[in-house]
Amino acid sequence: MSFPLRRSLAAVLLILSLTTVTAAAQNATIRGFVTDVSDGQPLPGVNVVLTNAAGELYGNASDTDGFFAISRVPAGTYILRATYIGFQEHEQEIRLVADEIQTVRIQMRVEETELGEVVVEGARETVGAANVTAGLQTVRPADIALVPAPDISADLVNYLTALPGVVSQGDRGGQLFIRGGEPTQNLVLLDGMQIFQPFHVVGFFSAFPSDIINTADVYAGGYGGKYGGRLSSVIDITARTGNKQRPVGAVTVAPFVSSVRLEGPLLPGKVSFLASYRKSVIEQGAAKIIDEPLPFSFDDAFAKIHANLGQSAQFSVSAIRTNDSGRLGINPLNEDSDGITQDEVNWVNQAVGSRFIFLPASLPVFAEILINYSTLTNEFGPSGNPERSTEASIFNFQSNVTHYVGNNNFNWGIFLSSSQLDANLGGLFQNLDVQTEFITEGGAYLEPEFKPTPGLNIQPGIRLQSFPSKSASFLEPRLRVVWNTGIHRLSAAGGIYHQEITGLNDRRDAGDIFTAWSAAPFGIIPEAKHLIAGYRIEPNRWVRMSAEGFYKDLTNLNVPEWTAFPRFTTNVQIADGTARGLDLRLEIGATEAFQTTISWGRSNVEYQTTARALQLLTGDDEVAYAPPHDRKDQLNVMTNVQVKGFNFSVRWQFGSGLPFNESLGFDRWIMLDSLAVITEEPGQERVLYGRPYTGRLPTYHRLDVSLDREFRVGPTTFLTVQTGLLNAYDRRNLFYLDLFTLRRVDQLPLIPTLGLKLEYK
Amino acid sequence: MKRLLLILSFALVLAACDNTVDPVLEDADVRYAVHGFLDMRTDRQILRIESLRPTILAEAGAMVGVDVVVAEEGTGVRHVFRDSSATASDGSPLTLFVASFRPQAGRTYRLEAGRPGELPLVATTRIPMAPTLQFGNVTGTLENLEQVLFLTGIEGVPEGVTMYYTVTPPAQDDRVTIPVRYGRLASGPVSDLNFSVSYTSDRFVVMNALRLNSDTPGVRLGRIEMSVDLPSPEWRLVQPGNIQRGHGQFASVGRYRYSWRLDRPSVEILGWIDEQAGE
Repeated sequence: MSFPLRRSLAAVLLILSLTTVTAAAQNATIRGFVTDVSDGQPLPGVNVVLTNAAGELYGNASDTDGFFAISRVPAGTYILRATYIGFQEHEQEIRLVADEIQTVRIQMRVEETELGEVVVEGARETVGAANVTAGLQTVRPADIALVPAPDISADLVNYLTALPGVVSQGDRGGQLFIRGGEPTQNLVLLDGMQIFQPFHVVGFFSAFPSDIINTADVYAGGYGGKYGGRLSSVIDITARTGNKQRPVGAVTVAPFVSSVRLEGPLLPGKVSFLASYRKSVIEQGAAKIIDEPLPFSFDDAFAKIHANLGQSAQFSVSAIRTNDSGRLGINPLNEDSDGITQDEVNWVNQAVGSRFIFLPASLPVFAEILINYSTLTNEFGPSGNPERSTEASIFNFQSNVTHYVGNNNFNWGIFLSSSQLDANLGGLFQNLDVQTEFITEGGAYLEPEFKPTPGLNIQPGIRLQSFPSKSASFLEPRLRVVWNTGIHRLSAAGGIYHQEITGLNDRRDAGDIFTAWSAAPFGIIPEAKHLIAGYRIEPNRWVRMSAEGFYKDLTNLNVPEWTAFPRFTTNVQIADGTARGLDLRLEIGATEAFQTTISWGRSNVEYQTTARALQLLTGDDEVAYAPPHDRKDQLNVMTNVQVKGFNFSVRWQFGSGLPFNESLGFDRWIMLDSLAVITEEPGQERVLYGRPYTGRLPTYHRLDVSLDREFRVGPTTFLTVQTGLLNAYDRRNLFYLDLFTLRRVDQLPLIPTLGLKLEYK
Repeated sequence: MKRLLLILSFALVLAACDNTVDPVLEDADVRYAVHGFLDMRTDRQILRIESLRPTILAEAGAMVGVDVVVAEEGTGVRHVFRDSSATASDGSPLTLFVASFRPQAGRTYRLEAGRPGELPLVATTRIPMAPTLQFGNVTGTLENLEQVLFLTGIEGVPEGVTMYYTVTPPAQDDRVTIPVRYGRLASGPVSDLNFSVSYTSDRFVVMNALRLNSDTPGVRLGRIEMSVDLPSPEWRLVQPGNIQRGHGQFASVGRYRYSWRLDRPSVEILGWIDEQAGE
């Protein structure tokens, strides 16, 4: 969808100027930030309501930054009430005069217990697994805490894999497939910084421990104009800010990971820091417990400094570094004394970024400026002698602005990025000559949010992406619609998406998670069209149900070519695809004492290609096949019960078998030419594939349980003891079967865990 | 309905309990891979046939009892191959199948390999037909004497062109034939081809082979020949598509020889004595 860039930019600027003029002419606006008085943390999801003597109500909810804005409020005197579960209601009188823009700070206090105990930290509300709206699932640490995990500090990825439509490779590999998309088609942001490969080599962990998360918005598709450059999904994580009142911290010890977190004020009430470091101890811990080699290690470090610059501005700097190493697959051509050598994969993410948010005094506007820089290095091959490597870096600038005009919001933004991509494919894709590439991307988006009637929210959007270095531009329409009516919520979303920077990997081999980042091969840019429709019902406060269907139409995907050649080299070929499915969620429970979530996802992913090699192999003009992440059915059951301070969590997950390649056998292949001497040449070992991915691995299912209890060991010091069982009935779930040797690599067996967390709150 | 649900639940439990995976496609009719070609250049035909192995580490399966026959379509003549053990350059064992016959130009041959009672691997190949050779004029002097040749009606890619000079060294009676290889003349399929024979360069090669100086007198030219090797279309294709119930590559090579008489003045320009037949 290329079109003249100048004309589009002019149109965007015109609409924005009209919006600003309109906004300035409205009645009073009240806005501000809601924080927890005990630590200065922003509180998202707080209901802020203005009531006047006539009983008229004006309200809004705070966002991830704790920011709220209520505009077009007639002048007068109001009672402002802010309510949030676990916190005392905040109430204050507000006087608004015409055309005034008033900024307030709401500081909420945690509720005291009936026994009058001092509570040092308020219970934060869960969003709920069934609270999905047009593909968007918001996740908060309280949600993550419901899922049993091997680490006493929960991790975002553990929650994500409990969502329907999210397929993981299991306990190892760190690859997430969201509603038919591939891992490289997910845009993962932490405080606006792009993290190329954010999930650790052990599937329970990501670069995002629960302790550092404020909220995570997971768009399984249909995301708005603010996001682009990826085909499948967006995971937008906002990190917590450090405690602005007093120093706090935690130390954990568990068989998989040990961690330390420190936070506190640098300038009390104004500037805080948060630092977190985790390091895997799998080889020293879990591997000893099960007496089985678990050759994985990783660590991640995160730091954030956050400053309140008065009532109307905030500034933060974040930085993260992750480091992963592991041996997953088997490369029979690199033999050691045992005849088998596993390839090793290593990757390092690094990112640093700043975020400045401010509220212009004379405009009902929320503005955000993000500047960040991210890098990834990734290597794969025999240990110490990697055959493949890639380096990617991106410098990104983005500005997002929201104008509040009565019930309507006008969101717009501009962005500019510059990427450097380099890869040594080690001959993996022979038809690609990957060189160092520099890609510049610029563009803008406009996304008004209309609320024509109570409960109805219509958010049409348009995003312009331009790649001057590639002489390509795209205009991407977006739409999100949400209609709340009584106990019902109907929602829909759709859009067109392009991905110029693509990840190339050889999915024929489950043990090969090496991903090379490059510009779209052959100048053919992959495109996706999303369509999502959902329904949610909350008949009473105990039960919530949702159903959401999705359809993704994918074109110009880069997939490994299927040939009768040996697997170690191949070509990239172009394929199209579709992903469609239905996610059902049922959530029962309204209190912390009992919560159960049952989710079921049914999906079908299919790729189609007219590649010559597959035509020759199959005899068909077009070959359709299920890619290796096509999990047809996925069921998750999670229950969390709290009794007398004990917190018991159980999770059972079931997934139908993933596709894999069946082989017809092996031969030793000789290319017949004038030099071939068939009586002497040993020939080249070759696997003979059938049609792609005709086999199905056995079903995957596993039960995890955990029990924890927090003990107060000092006025503000707590010790949490967690015990649990991973894979409680010791299911032998298959991770990897090497076709060359028929050697089987299973996922983690039954592992008992015991974790300790000492926390100073 | 209850019964249906019960059956479905039972099936689900069974599926969930199943933990085995068999990655080898159970196609009982695909057992072998063949690598080799029928060669018009020799009376001894050799094919390499192996059983497909379930894993890369598995030993090659025994080929005892496998019948390998090549039948000539049209005439129905059958050539039975005998198995023979050999060792590859890396020491790995090979099973070769050998038969004594020379395939004929333009004929189609059908290979069948399998044990009695099995559906055999079947592969076919056709020996390319002989192209037509036409001649241009001989031009030049001792420094650049050459002649353009035209090959028309070529099937496939000419794989090897070789000139043969049969000469008698000075003061000797025995003739020797010196080959001069021209190699591949095209990188892809062509139907017509013209190329130059450089008699000046070839003379240099021939005299060198005879360990004589280029200007040594008394060399007698007895015969000039040229051979062209024409592989069948399956040559150099990864997936040639001519094999059923099996894998590998099965092709054929036609070899065609042409001889002609170089005119006496040209022979004398080369410093040789003309003893070619037909004068």
